[in-house]
Amino acid sequence: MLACLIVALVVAPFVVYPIFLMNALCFALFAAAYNLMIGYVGLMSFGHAAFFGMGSYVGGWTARYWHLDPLLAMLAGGATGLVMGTAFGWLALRRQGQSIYFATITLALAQMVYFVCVRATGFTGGEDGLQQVPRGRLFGVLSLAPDRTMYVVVAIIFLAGFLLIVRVVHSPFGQVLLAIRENEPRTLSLGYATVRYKLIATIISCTLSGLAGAMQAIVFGIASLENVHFSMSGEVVLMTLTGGMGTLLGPVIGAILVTSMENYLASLGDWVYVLQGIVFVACVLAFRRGIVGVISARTRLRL
Amino acid sequence: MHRRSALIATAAMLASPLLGSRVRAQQSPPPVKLGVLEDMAGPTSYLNGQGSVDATQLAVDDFGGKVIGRPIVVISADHQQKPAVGAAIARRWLDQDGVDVLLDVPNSDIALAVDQVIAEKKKLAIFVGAVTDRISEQDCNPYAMQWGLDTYADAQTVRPLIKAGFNTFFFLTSDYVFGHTLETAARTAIASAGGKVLGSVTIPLETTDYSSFLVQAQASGAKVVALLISGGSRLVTAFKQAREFGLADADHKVTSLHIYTEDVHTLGLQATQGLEAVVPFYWDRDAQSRDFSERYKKRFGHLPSELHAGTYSAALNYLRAVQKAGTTDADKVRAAMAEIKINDVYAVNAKLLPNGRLIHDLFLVQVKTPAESKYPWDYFKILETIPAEEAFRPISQSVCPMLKHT
Repeated sequence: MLACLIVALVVAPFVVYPIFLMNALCFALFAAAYNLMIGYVGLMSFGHAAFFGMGSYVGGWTARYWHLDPLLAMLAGGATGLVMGTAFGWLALRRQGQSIYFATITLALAQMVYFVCVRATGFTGGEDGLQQVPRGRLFGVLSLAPDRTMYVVVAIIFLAGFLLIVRVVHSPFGQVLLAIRENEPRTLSLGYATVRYKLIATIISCTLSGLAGAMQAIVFGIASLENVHFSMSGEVVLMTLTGGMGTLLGPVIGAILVTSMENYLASLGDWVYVLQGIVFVACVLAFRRGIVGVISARTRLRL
Repeated sequence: MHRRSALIATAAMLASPLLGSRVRAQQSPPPVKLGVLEDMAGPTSYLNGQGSVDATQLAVDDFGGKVIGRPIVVISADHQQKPAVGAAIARRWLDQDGVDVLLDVPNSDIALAVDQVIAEKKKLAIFVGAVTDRISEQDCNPYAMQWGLDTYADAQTVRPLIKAGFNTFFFLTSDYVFGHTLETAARTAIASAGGKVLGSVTIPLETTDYSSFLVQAQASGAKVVALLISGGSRLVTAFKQAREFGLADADHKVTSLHIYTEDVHTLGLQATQGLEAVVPFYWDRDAQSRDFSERYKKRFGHLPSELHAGTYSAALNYLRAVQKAGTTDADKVRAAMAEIKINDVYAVNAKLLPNGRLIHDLFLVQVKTPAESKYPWDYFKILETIPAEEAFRPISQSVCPMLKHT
């Protein structure tokens, strides 16, 4: 599976427009990070836009005003996700039991972040967005202005993030997460401090979401309110569900599908939303485990 | 031997269409491409959206469908109100699809993102639907032009009011970016015109009961209450309540700095009568605008909004500049745009400033009463014409960094 993914990453820029690919990869990392929570722990977060969006603001801000190295700026975005994820997770996980509490608390916190961003115009640029984020030079030497160079960096970071998720899922820690998803009281009775496990999974997920957001800000040179808006949280759910939650490749495929629809069907105007809706309904009805989930079940491969 | 020649003949026959098409491709010149980037389904799509694409097509047809011997093609896309999507489409259009100019691009955040892309790619864009003034101020570049109104121009609504003696103001400001920007612009305009601001109150975005704010406004004794509230239905709720409180009478006025004809249509004259605002275009203003609007309506089924008319004007003048320059080279066309005389149905007595800002006459309008309205869409009384030089920020006040170098 990994070999296929790497080959695809290498071949893709020769076939597909690199800007589009980078956008897809940012969302793929975001969706993969989200999937770690919903797919492997069963934690339904409705506020992931907050981490993605704040990651992009901090990444963009540090690159523009502190002239940080693009890689450091992206890491700053990741650090933002880490700090916020710790705070949000700590608050939201205090509520035991049904996941509906977790979902509502994350949504409420994310909305708070959104409204702070609307008002903090000095930092976010308000409705104008944070503009003119430079792509900069990697390690002070390599200019990232050419799309292909930028693509290589994005692809490597995506791959690193993705491998981290693969590693986490396949580790003993990941097995405990799966156990929590299947039966939390039982896992607790076996002696695992489930809240701590859930918190760590949340933090990893939020960190990677922040990283993905910062990466998008560097690629496009902008960070906007759109990224912290709750529709972005909805979009990442859409990507994960259509691709197949609880599979490693699912969110990646889902992200590519959704971003391709947004990009290549843009000339159809408002029909994009109708088509997105149809695809979503079709996925939920026809293959409930998502595209990759179904393929994985048919072929008995772990994808 | 025989077989071989047959093979060659077959191969040649198979290849000939390929060769033929190549030759044909060389003969017909590449089209001049206008890319209209829109919000097709969002909250403002009734003001621009497909209508702006139609307006561009109308401009192309009015121009004759051809320029410098090349056919003109209009393509469009929906940025879905996402800056990343908008920027990606703009890049693809300029990199791969050979688009020569980007038009309209509503929503400030997306316009600014696209502004950066065109500066990098050295291609032209004419912004109509974005109200941010950064495009022709802080973030100005030689390739961006701004055809529509910005908050500075909207704020000029106060000038004729002050001239008429309505010189004290009270603001009801929506608590979000647009509201605050507009208030800042209005305060500057009032101060420079010799008026006075007696107070202001910030209103939470989702409020439906404005009574306590209106009482404050009334208590201030201001002659004008300005509702800096965007979004049709909210504005009208506030306006209705202001009328109920008796804030609009012979000595007092209630104004909003901007209103669209389409909003008046949706909300009805009963609710909006008496409201004053500045508009760049009103379909029923004169014979020329009526003729244009009727033609537009005949073809597309509805009257053009001010943004549709603006996009029409932008496309038409771009094509005229291409004609004059004899090329689609961005720098030469931009130079030609500064030379051609711009005066059309939207841009009245217009002039393109070096920072890319198009200045043109604006009109102070008042919404008619139901009794005054004689036929469908008869909504505005034009009270006054605000000359271009007064309506827009003068070049001497511009902070555009490009101007210092030249």
